[in-house]
Amino acid sequence: MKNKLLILSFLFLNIVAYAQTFEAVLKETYLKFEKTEAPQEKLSLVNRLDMIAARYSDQWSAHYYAAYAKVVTSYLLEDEKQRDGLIDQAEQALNKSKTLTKTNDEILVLEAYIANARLAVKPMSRYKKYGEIFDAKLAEATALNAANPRIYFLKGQSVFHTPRPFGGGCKNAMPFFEKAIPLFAKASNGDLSKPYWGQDRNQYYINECNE
Amino acid sequence: MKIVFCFIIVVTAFASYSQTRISGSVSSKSGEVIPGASIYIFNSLDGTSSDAVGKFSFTTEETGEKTIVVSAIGFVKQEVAVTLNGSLPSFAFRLEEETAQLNEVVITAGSMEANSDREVAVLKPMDIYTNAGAAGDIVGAIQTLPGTQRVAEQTGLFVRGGDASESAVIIDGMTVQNAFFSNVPGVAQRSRFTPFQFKGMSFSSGGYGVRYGQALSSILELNTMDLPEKTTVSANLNMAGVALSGIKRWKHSAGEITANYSNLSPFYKIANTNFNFYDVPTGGGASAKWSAQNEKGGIFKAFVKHDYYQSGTEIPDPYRPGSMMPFGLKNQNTYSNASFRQLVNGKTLFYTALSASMNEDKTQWGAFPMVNKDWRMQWRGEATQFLTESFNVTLGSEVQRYQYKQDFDTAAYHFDETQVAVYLESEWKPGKQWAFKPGVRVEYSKLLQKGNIAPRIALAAKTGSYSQVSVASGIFYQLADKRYLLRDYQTDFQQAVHYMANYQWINDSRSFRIEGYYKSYNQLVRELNATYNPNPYRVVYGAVDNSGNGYAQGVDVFWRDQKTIKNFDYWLAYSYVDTKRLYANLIQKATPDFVSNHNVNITTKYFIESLQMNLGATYSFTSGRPYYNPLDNTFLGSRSPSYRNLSLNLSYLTSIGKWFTVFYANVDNVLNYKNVLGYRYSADGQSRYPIVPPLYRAVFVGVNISLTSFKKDEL
Repeated sequence: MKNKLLILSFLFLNIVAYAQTFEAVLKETYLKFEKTEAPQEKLSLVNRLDMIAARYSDQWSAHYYAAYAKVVTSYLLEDEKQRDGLIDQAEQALNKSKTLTKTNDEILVLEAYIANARLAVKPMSRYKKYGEIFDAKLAEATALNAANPRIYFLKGQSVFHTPRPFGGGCKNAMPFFEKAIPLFAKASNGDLSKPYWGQDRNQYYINECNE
Repeated sequence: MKIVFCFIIVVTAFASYSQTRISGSVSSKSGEVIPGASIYIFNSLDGTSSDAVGKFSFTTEETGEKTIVVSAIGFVKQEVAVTLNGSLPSFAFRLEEETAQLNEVVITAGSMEANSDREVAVLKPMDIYTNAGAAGDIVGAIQTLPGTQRVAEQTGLFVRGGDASESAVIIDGMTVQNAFFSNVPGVAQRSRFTPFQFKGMSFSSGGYGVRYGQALSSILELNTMDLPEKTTVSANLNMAGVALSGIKRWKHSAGEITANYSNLSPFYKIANTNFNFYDVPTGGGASAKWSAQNEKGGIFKAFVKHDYYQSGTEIPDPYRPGSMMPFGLKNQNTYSNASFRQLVNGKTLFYTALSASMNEDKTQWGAFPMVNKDWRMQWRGEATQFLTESFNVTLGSEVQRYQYKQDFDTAAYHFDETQVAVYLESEWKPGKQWAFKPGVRVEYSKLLQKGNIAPRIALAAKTGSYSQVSVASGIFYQLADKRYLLRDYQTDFQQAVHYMANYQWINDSRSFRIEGYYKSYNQLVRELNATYNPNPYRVVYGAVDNSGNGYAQGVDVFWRDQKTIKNFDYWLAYSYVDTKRLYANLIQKATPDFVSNHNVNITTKYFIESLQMNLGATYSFTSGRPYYNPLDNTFLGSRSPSYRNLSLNLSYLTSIGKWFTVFYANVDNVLNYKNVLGYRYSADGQSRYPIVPPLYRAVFVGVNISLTSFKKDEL
């Protein structure tokens, strides 16, 4: 009996340890990713997140953050084929994540982000198709959780980068960024199972516009 | 317990002892270094990325049989089994390039598509709107593509040696009987439709599928927008008038209305006109459209439009070269079209459409009044069954009924036609590498009391990641021109047989196409006169039969590059055609007077990002066309000078308040080339008069403003 208990508790401790290492490793890599700016450094952290996703392939968040990092990095690359290739990988990672968790607003937001990344590669020929997907995914996310600040951050970011004559520019983007501020403030940062990315860049755009 | 501790210590000691360094380089098969590649031990957290020169190094405490995974964007992932035992030689990984997502083969012989739904396309609808040579006209834009040619004084689309009556314009599967504004002799007219109504277009310069018939040369297929995205109001003010439109979008449906008033006075005031427009074209029109989508994705669209305009022009009298004649025109035109398409169970696509149209031209030829009226009704129904992902079959039918009436002075003519057609086509794409598209069309004409069977086939094969070849052939039938049918001549179907082959290469915003073709014409309608009359408006008195024939052969080349220079896009189209016919009023086999052998079009666009400004230029060159010189021993052997045109356009995008605003300007024939299109001779053959276009240099400016509703619920 004693032995069995020992084994059980040992197993339990093992699982806890596994979870702790996973979360710690993911968090450490994710934080590093958010901190670096150079595309090449971001790429190596993308590689690391990929490795984590392969190691902990049963964790939805592992795939989710690999997808997230790939989308964000795609905007920083120059070569169109590389950008599309990275976005393809992001889509695959997110699809894996989707099989491991219920469809929630965060997944939809990231799907919208992927559509926006595709659009950004060739805006002139893609704005129609991917603009529609972007709006539709954000609308779905809003229906599930209208308090998700990333919905407004992404919308604002998209408006910010739209040429002014087409309804873009700071003036039109600001209401979205401002709407996101209190929602970001409400969220508790630090728990990777509840994504909280976007706040810094939201603030960055606000500063850009206020200059 | 002690044993366990011992074990742990031993294991740890052993592990730290057996650290393995994994190092090396990553390059492509062709030897280029790959920076940023990922190298890691599968199912561990040990790994790294290659540096700027493709080198990497890391250590792992894993031991035993493991797998190293090497991956990089755009390359095939590599997995290498290794035994980790403390020391490994350096690796030199060579990754294979991922073949760009192999695009499915598409049948392209004879056709060029501009489609917003497909990423790999030679053209996009946007390219059509922003084309300097087009001046906002769809057909103007099509005329910058290979296979077409400009005939500056005649209305219609001239394709690969065919005359204007041999090209059909189709909207949502329905033939448009009066696609162009009514003809004024010597003045080429624009098409009646604005490019913004369409989401896609497909221009076939030959070898088109069995859905359509009654066009010996070509088909221009236009597909209208489905549901507009957003509620919008817009206004357009230019030198030809003003147009207003409003779109209301509901969740699953949308309504759209437009109204326009046109008056070309401001345009003709500053243009360099060769003709006297004594009654400048004025008119007005309105249209309404309704579109709706059902729960299962089916789309219903209905469109109705009415236009009125009038004009009076002093034109060269086609009957008496050298003298001018007043030509008055009052035109009424109604066009309507309704269609519905629905995909059922993801397996069967149903499509049905109905259209009705009416056109009336009241003209004044000098002293003679003439009234032309025509009506048309058409129905189409078809079903496409997708049996597998790569095999489908389409069965369809169409019924068209049309009527033409002409009152000239005191004489009255008319004819009625009802045509029924059934067609069957299948498409098979084994392995997405090959495509076969055989089909057959059977038609019956009530007027002729005769039918025909037209088999057609198209094939395509991929020849590489970016290239493919495609061939097409088929038989095409068309009734005699209305000028013969109105006079009750008994004629048979005219026939053309097309053979064409093309090679296409599209890679990363660059595309190249070359297409060769041969067409033979049989049973062409021929007027059995002993003498030739070059007047296109001649009245046909003599006997007519189907003894005409002819051929056309040539090469079309297209090159487009959007990549080399950022924001700069250009395309180059060259067409060569060699054609001879014995038809209409030609007394010998000859090249008809609307054909030029060499056609060159260079279209360029440059977008200046910082100014939000689009600049475009189109240069066209058309080699001289034959004209009839009674003193020349060779029939239609004389050639006019070549035609040149350079047009520029500019559009500036901005916003005024919440209004999205586009200012645009177009200058046609900037260099003011004094083009001569041919010559006409007096009845005695002693005097020669040049045929000139109605305008040389012309300037057109306008502004378009639109306001899109701002969705409050987004915030």
